[in-house]
Amino acid sequence: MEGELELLARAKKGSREAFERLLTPYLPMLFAYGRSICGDYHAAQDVVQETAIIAFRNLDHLFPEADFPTWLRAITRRQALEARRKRPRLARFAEEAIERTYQDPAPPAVTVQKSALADCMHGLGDRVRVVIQEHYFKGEKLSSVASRLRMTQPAVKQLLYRARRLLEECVKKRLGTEAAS
Amino acid sequence: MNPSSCDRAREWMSDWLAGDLSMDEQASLEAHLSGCDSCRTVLDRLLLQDRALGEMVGASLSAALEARVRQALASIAPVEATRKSVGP
Repeated sequence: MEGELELLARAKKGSREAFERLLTPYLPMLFAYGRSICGDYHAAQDVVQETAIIAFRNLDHLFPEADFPTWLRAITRRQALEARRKRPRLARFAEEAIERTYQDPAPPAVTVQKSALADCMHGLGDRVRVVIQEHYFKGEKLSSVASRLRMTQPAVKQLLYRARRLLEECVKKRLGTEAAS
Repeated sequence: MNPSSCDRAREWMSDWLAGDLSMDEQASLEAHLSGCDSCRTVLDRLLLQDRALGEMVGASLSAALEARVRQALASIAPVEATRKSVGP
C-alpha cells in the first residue's frame, strides 16, 4: 500500500487520484477547523473545496520537510478568514483558543471524544438532542432552530448550553469507566 | 472570580461557539477570560468538544465533500510544474 510520501510524489506529478487519497483523511478536520473560524456550516464546505483546489495547484510549493496536514490547515485558515470577512472579526481569545485546539491535526483526545460522543448523543433527551442535530449536523442557525421548535432563541441557547454540559459529563464518565475497566 | 460571573461566561462561550454572541458580550467574555484561568480551561474543553462534534459532522459529510473536491479538481487545468519551494 502506498504511503503518504509516495502519494505525495505522484500528486506532485499531477495525479488527482493520488491527491484525493492524500486529502480524504483530513476532510473532516478541515471542515471542523474551517467551521470554527468562519462560523458557518455551508461556508465551511466551500472552504474545504477551495482548500483542495489551492493545495493541488500549489503542491510544488510544499517543502519536502513540511507536514502535509499542517500545510492544508494553513490554507484552510486563510480561506476561512476570507469567508468570514463580512462578519465581525474573531476576538483574540477566540483566535488563540481555536489555534490551540487545532494545532495537532489528529490528537488522540479528539478521537476518544468522538467515539464517546457518538454514544452519549443517544442518551440525551429528545429536545436537547434535536438542538445538537439541527445546529451541528444540519448547520441551522439558532434562530432557525428556535422557529422550528417553536421556542424563543434564548431558550434554544440554554438548551444548547445544557447539551454541551450533559455531553461533557457523559464523555467524562464514559472515559473514566473505560480507564477503570 | 465570582462564580456567577463564571457561569455567565460559560453560557457566553456556548453562544460564541454557536455564532450567536453579540459584540458587547464578546468583549465582556474576553475581559473575563483575561482574568480567569478556570474559565480559560473550560473554553479549551468546550472547543475540544466542538472540534470532535465538527469532525463527526465532517465525517457525515465526507461523501459529499469528496464528491465536491473530485468535481472541483476535475475542472481545473493540469498542474504546471513550479520551481520555487515554500513552507506552510
